Amino acid sequence: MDIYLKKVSVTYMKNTPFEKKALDNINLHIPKGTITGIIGHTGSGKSTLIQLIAGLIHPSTGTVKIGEMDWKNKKALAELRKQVGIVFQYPEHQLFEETVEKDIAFGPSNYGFTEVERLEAVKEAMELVKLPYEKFAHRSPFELSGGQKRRVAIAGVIAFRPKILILDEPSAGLDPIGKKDIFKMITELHQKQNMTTIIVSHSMDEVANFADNLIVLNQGKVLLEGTPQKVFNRVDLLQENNLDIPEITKLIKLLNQKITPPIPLSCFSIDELEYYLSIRLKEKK
Amino acid sequence: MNPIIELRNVSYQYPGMEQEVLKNISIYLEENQFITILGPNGSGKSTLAKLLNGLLLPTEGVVIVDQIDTNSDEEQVWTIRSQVGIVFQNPDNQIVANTVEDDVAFGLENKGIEPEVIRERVDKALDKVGLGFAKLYEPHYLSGGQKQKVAIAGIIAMKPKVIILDEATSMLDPKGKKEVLQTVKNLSSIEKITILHITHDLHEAILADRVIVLDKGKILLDGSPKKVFKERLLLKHIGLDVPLATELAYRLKENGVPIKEDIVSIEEFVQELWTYI
Repeated sequence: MDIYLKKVSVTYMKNTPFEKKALDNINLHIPKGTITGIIGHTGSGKSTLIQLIAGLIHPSTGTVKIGEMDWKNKKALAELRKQVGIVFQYPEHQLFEETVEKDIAFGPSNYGFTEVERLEAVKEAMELVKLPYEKFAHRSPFELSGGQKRRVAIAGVIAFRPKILILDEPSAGLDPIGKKDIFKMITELHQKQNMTTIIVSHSMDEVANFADNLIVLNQGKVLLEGTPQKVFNRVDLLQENNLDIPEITKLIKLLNQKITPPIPLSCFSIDELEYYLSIRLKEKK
Repeated sequence: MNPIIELRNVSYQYPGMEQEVLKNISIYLEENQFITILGPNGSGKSTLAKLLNGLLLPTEGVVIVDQIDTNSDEEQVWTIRSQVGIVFQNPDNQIVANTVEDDVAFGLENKGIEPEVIRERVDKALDKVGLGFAKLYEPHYLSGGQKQKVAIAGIIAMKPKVIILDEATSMLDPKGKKEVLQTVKNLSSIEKITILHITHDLHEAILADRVIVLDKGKILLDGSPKKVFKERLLLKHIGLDVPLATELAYRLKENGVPIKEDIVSIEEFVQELWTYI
């Protein structure tokens, strides 16, 4: 489902001394089937943006549309809730059931899945997050490792098969391999389920590699928007606004000060950079 | 050099758990160093931090902080607590007061220190972390990085010898991370405070004088960042990784480029490589 925001502003605590404009006249189109990364530092409006898309808050002015449906249309509300799943930051803190299976089944049960459908949904979700049903279904979620708990929490959201999946900092607090694994899993999930995926992340290296498009927020406005290539080409603008760039982009930028022709800043994977460098090295010989 | 902290054959097992979280660990930590502890999730890093100021007591072995055993009488433990401060992961869980200055004064007030002395120490501590302007702010309105700096100021006010950051940067955005790291680097070089930084972040680990890698409750590697990151396969095997520059240098060397092996920073990598291309 496509997502459209038209002239959207959100003001918190309006008409009080604490009034704060979290989003300021935003226009966005997030095409269906894509992975979109949202970046920007704390207070830039990222959380407000995903809460709007998930229908948890309404804009002060402007409209948010999911496909043809508007969150403000009360009749569409129940249907929309099923279409948009949101995985919050540190979602494992929200696990509460005695077993992994019961925890994942909570969403589908609320959405009126029959017992048979529910079991099928739980099995499918567990397979997608790579926690085999036979091994994990009857264990307590609290006995699992940090990374596994997070997978259970994600499974609980994808179990009701949303068309749009929003993840807030899905890799926060995980170790380097845990981070890689979770992003790999999300990409596979995205492809298999044919969803629209939105990821909020502070990790520039990850979003550069996995996202089709990026939205950079700064002080409630869209600072940049486009493919990772396009966005991270604006290194100076990003750094001016205290935003980070991928480590690999820093390296290429530094190297390009010393070599000609430069290596393209659109290179985000280490394999690709290795390839470029080895070609240069061969030419030199 | 005197060890500021010494662990002798320390093991720790949480009550009711079958496995030991730390298994027979011995470490000397020298004064005034910037030390990073790296380890995958579940390696025992946070347990180690809690042993260092007596929040936990070892099930076997001894922990000695500035010549005091953490397992001594209560009064001694308080001395240790004021010398070893811990900044925890979640900035929102460690703020206790309604203004920044009250928050920083909290520990001093508990120790019954004279109000004039408290005033002076709070002001100095906030200046040192660059938050002198925010004394009367409500901590609630600060950014994550600033909240962590308030926590650090609360520790500095106690005149500690050691500050432990227990994944204190992991919930912060890149700007907040930088602010906090710069602050502790300054404290390490100017105030001569020993810093123990527990993290997953390889690029933060490069900043340290010494890196200790924990895995499954044991010390796997211990040395300078250059020495530790040479062990590329071992680190990957336990769920960690090496910095980008180290990985690239390794791959190029495998392809016959005569590049140095112990590169950890991108600046070094570029300096080494550009003459070849």
